Amino acid sequence: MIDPKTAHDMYYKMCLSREVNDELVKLKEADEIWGPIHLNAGQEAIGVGACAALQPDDFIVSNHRGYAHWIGKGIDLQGMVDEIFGKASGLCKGKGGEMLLADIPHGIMTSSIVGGSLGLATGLGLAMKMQASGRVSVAFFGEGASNTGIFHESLNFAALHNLPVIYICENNGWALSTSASVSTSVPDIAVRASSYGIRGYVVDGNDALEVYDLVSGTVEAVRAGAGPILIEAKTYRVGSFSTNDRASGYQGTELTKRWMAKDPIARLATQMKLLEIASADDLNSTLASSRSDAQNAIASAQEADYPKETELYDDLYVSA
Amino acid sequence: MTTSMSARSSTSTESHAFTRELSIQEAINEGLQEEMARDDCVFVMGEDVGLYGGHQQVTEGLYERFGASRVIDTPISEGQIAMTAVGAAMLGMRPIAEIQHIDFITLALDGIVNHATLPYGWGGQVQVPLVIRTKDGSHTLGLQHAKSLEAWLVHIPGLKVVQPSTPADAKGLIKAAVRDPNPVIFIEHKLTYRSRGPVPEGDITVPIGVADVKRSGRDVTVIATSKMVPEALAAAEFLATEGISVEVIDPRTLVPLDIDTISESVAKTGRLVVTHEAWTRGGFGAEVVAAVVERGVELHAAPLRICGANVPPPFSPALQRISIPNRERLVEQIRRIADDSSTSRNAPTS
Repeated sequence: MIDPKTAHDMYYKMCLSREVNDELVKLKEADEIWGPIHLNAGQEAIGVGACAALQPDDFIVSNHRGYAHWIGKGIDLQGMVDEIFGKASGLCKGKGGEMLLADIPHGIMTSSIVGGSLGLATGLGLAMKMQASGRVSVAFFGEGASNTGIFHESLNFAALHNLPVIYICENNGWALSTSASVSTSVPDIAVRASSYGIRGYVVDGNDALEVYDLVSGTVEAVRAGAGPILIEAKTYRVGSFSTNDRASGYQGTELTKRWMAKDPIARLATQMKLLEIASADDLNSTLASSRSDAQNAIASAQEADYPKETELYDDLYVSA
Repeated sequence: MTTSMSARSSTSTESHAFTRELSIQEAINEGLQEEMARDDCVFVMGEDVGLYGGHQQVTEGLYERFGASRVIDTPISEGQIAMTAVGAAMLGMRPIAEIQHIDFITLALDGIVNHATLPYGWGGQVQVPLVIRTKDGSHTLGLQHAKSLEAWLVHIPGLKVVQPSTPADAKGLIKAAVRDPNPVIFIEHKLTYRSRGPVPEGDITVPIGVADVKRSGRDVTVIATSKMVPEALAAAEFLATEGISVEVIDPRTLVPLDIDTISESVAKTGRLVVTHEAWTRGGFGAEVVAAVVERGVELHAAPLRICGANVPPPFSPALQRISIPNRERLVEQIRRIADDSSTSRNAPTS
C-alpha cells in the first residue's frame, strides 16, 4: 500500500511541474523569456514517480525536458526559475539556462546533448562504486537517445562493472519531429537491455504509482551492486517539442487526444480518491498551492537581477 | 644551454641536489605512480592501460601495484571513456583517462567539449579535476594515426592543454595536471617516449602556465612544442656556428599560454618563428603569432610559421618526411629570417 504522504507529495510535485511549465510556455509565447521552454505536459509521472523512490543523496541526470525530473528530485524552485530567466540568482548564476539546470546539493544535473545524461550518469555510478557510498545515479533520456552511440557504450560499461545506475527511457513517441517508428529498430526499447546482459522493464509512464512501485522495487538491488537496469516508461508528448517547434502538425490530433485522456495527474487523483487517501478538496487545495508556488517563483524571478558583465569570466577555471 | 633566462623556469638542473636520467616514458610512469600513491582518488582508465601496461608502457606496473579498481581496462569506447571520466570527476574522483591516439579524440569530443566545461555552465557548482592523456605525431601509421590536433583543444575555453618535450617537464607536468582542479589535456608524442634526460628526484611539479627558455639567444625567437623542441635546439646549435644566436622557448603549456615570456623574448630579438608538427592553417602557432603581434612588439621581419603541410598525413616515407618540419628546414628558414642580424643587436650602432 502506497504511503499516503508519498502519494500526496507526488501529487503536489506533478501539479507543480505542470503549473510551472504551462506558465513558462505562456510567458515565452508572450516573448518574456530569453530561451526556449520545452513542453512537459503529460509526462509528469515518470520523473516524479521515479524520484520519489530515491534518497536525497542519490543523483539524477536530466535532459532538456526535465521539469518532472528536477521537481521530483526536490530542486530549489526559486533557483530553477531564476535560472530559466537567466538571472544572477539562478542555480547556475545565469550561465546555464533551462537546458542545463543543475542543483548539486539536491543531486541534480542536466545535459542537453541527447545521450549526455547516460554518459554522465555512468561516470557518477563509477565514482559511487569506488567511493562505496551506497548511492545510485539515474539517467533520464528519451527513445531518441536510445539510438546514440553513448547509449551503447554507457550500458555496456555499466554492465561490465555492475555500476549502480538506473537508466530510465521516457518513450514519448517523438524526437522533435521524428516518430519513434522511423528512428528506432525495435518497438520496445527495454529489449535492448538483453544486449548488455542486464534487466529491462517496461512500465506505464502515465501512472505515477506504477513508476514509483517499479523503481522502489528495483533500486535497492542496484544500490547493493547487482548491476544497472534499463526501464522504459511508455508515455506520449502531447505538446510540441518546445516553444521553438514549428508545430507543423506532425503529431496528429487523434493520437494526441487519446493520450490526453490518460493524463497522469488526473489518473493519480482518481487513484488517491479510490484508495481513500485524499478527498477532492485535498487535491484541489494541493493544486491551488502548486499554482501559487509556481506563480510566486515566476514573479520573483521576473524581478530578480541579471548577472553583471563583470561575471563573464567567473567559473571558467577553478583555482587550486 | 639549459640555464633559463627567465626567473620563472624551474627545470634548471643546478637547482636540485640530485638528478638521474629517465626516458619520457619512465618519467611519466614515475609521476603517475607518485600521484596514485599520494591520493586514493586518483585512478587510471583507458584501452590496454592495465594488464598490458599501456601501448607504450607509460602505465606499466600500475595495475600490479594499485589493482583493478584503480587501473581500469576499458572497452573500445572513447565516447564513454571521456564521459565516464567527466562524471566521476564531478563526484570527487581524479581520473587520468587515456585516448590511445589523438586521432581518436574525435570520438571523445562530446565529453571533452560539451561536458568537461560544465563547471562554467553550471555556475561553479562542480569541478572537473580530470586529466586526459593522449599521444600525437606523424610517422609510419598513416592518415588516421598520425595527426596532431592540439589546436582543437586550445580553442576550447575551460580546458588546459600541456605538451611537455623533456622527461623532467613530462614528470613535473603530469603531477601538476593531476593536482589541477580543472580538466587538463596532456599530450605526449608517439616517437619521443624513449628520449632521455635529467629528472630531479622527489615530489617536484612543473607549474602549468609557465614557459621554459630552453636555450637563450639574441637574434631570433623560436617557439617550439613537443618533438620540435629537440629539432629547434639542434638547429640552434648548428646556426650558432654561423653566428646566428637563436633563443628557443618551449611554452610547455599551450593554454593558459605564458605570453609574457614569449613577448619579452620577441621584444629582445625582433624576430619570431613558431614551429610545430601540426598543420599550419589554424594551428597553435597561428595563435602565438597573433598574440605576440597584438601586443605591439616591434618586429624586424614578418613572423614565420614552420609547421605541418596542410595535407592529411601521407604514408609513404618519401612524402611523410616532407609533410612535417625538421631541423634542416628550420636551419634553412631561420637563416633567411636572420639575414642581416648575425651581429649582436646590443652592438653599438655608430
